[in-house]
Amino acid sequence: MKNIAKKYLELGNSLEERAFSILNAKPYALDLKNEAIKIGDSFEILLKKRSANSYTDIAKYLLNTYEPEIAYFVAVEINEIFEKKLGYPPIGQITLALENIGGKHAAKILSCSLLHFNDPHTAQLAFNVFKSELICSQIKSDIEIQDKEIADFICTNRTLIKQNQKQNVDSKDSMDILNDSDSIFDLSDGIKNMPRKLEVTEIFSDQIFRHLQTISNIVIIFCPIIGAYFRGVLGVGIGFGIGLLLRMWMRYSMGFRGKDPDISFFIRMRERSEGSKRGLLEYLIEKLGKRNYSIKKCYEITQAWDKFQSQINNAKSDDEKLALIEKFDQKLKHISYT
Amino acid sequence: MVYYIFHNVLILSLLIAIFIYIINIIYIIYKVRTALGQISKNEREVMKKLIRVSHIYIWHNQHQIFFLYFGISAFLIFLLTTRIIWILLTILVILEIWRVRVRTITPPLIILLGKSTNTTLMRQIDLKKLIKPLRVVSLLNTNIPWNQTPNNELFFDCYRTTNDEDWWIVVTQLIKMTSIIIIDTNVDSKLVEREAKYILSNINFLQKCVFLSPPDGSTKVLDNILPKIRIQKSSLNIVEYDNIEQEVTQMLKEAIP
Repeated sequence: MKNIAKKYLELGNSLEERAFSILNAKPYALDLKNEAIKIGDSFEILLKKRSANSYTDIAKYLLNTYEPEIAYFVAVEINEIFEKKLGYPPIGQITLALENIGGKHAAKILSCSLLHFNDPHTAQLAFNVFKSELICSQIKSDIEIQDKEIADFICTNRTLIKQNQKQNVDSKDSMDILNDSDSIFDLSDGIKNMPRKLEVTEIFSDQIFRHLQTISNIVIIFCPIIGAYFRGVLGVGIGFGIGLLLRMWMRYSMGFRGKDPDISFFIRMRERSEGSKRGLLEYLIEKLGKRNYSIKKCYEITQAWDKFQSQINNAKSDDEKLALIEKFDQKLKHISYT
Repeated sequence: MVYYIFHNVLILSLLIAIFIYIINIIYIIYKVRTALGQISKNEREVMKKLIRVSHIYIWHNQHQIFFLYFGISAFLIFLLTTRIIWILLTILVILEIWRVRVRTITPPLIILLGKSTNTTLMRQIDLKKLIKPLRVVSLLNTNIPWNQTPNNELFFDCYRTTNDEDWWIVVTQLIKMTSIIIIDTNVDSKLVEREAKYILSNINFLQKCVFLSPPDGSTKVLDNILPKIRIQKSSLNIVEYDNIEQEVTQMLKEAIP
C-alpha cells in the first residue's frame, strides 16, 4: 500500500511537471490566476447555480482552449479564487459538467484531477462519483498509460460495481454506442499506435523536416538554373555540382543513410547508439521539436529493430509477419514518445 | 527560330492552362456557394482536421510543400531573369495550390456509407459525376487490386482514416456536415450498423438520409436495429440501388432552388 501511495504522489508530481513544461513551451506567457479570473468574469461565475448544467459553458471553454493538464490547473485556480465567494467548490461542478460533455479530451482532464488528490483512497472515492461508464473506462485507460497499478487501484471499486451491474448494462448495450465521443477535438494526430498526442513543437519540427527534405530535392534543379543565368553552360555544370553537394550534405546532416528511407532511420539510430554526434540539421529538428534521442533511446530502438529483423526472417505466414510489424510499430512508438 | 517558336508555344500553353485553372476554380466556388451557401471558417477548420487524419494527408502535405518551393523557386528565377515564362509558372503553381485547397476544404454535399466493395465505390463515382463539382465523400477503401478507377477518381473524396481510432469521429462529423446521407442497408457489417444507429438516433439525420436496398427490399442492417427502437421501417426513405440517382436529383431539386 505504501508503494501505491508513493507512486500516486509521484504521478501527481509528474503531472505538475508536465503542466509547467507545457506552460514554459508556450510562445506567450500564460498566467493561470489571470486566466481563472478572466474565465470567472466572462462566464459570470458568481451568478451561476450550483449545478453541473450551469457550468457546461466553462467546461466547454476549458476543453476547447487548453491542453488537459493546463485545463485542470486553470480549473483548480478557478476553485481557489471563487470558492469563498460562492460558498462551495466550483471545481466539483466543472468536473461533473466535463463528465456530461464526455469525450477523450474531457476524460484526460478528469484523470488529471484524479491524480492530484492527497492520497489514492480519495481519488478512488472521487472516481466512483462519475456515472458514465464510457468516461470511466476512458479515464482508466488514460491513467493506465501512466501507471497500470495506480489505474487498477483507483478504478477497482468501479470494476466490481460494473460486474454486478453487467446484466443491466447488456440490456441497454445496443444504443450505448451512441454515447461515444464524436468531438472533433478528440481526433488523434492520424498516427497509429501512438502512446500520446504529439506536442505542437513536435508537429512543427516534423513539418520543418518535410520542408528540408523537399529543399534537398529542389536544390539539384534550382542551382543549375541559377548557374545558367550567371555563367551559361559552364554555370549549369557548376550549379549542378553545387546542388548535388548541397543535397548530399543536407540529407546526411538530417540523418538519412542508405537508399531505403524505411531502413535509413534504423541505420542512423545504430550510429547514434554507438555515440555518433547529431548532424547540424538533425540537431535543429530535434531542438525545435523538444525531442531528444538520447544514446539510451537509440540503443533501445536498435535492439528492438534487431529483434524484429530476426523475428520477421523466421516468420512463416503473412499473418504472422503483419502481427510482428504491428507489434514492432507499437514498441518503436512507445520508445520514441514516452 | 526553333527556340523562338518553342518559347512562344510554351507561353501560350501556360496562358491557356492558367485560364482553365481560373475558370475551374471559379466554377467550383460558384456551385458550392449556390448549393451550400457561404462556407463558415469553422466548417473549413473541421475539414482541415478531417484531412489531417485521413489517407489524403501525406500526399496533400507533400503536394503543398513541393509546389510551395517550386513556386518560390520559379519566382526567384523570374526576379533574376525577368522572363515572363517564370512568372507564368509561379501563377500556375499558386493556382494549383489554390485548386487543391478548394477541392479538399469544401464541405461535401453527400456522404455514402457502406461496405468497401467495388459496387459501392462505383456507385460513389456515379454520384460524383451526377453532382460534379460538388462532393460525395465516403470512408471506403479505394484500393481494389483489379480496379484502379476508384483510387484515381475518388482520391480527394475518400476520408478513410490512417488511425482506426479516428473513424467514428470522422463519420459523425461528416454525417453532421452533409446535406444528404446515403447508407447501404443490405450489408453484414457491425460498423455500418453502428452508423445506421447513429443516424436513427437523430431526427435531423433521418430527414436527410436515404437507406439503400436491393430490388427484393431486404435491409439487413435495419432489420437488426429497428426491433430495438420505436421507428417503423415504413417511415424511412428506403430506395432501391438503381433509383438512387433519381432520388438524389429529386432531393437536390428540393434542397437547392
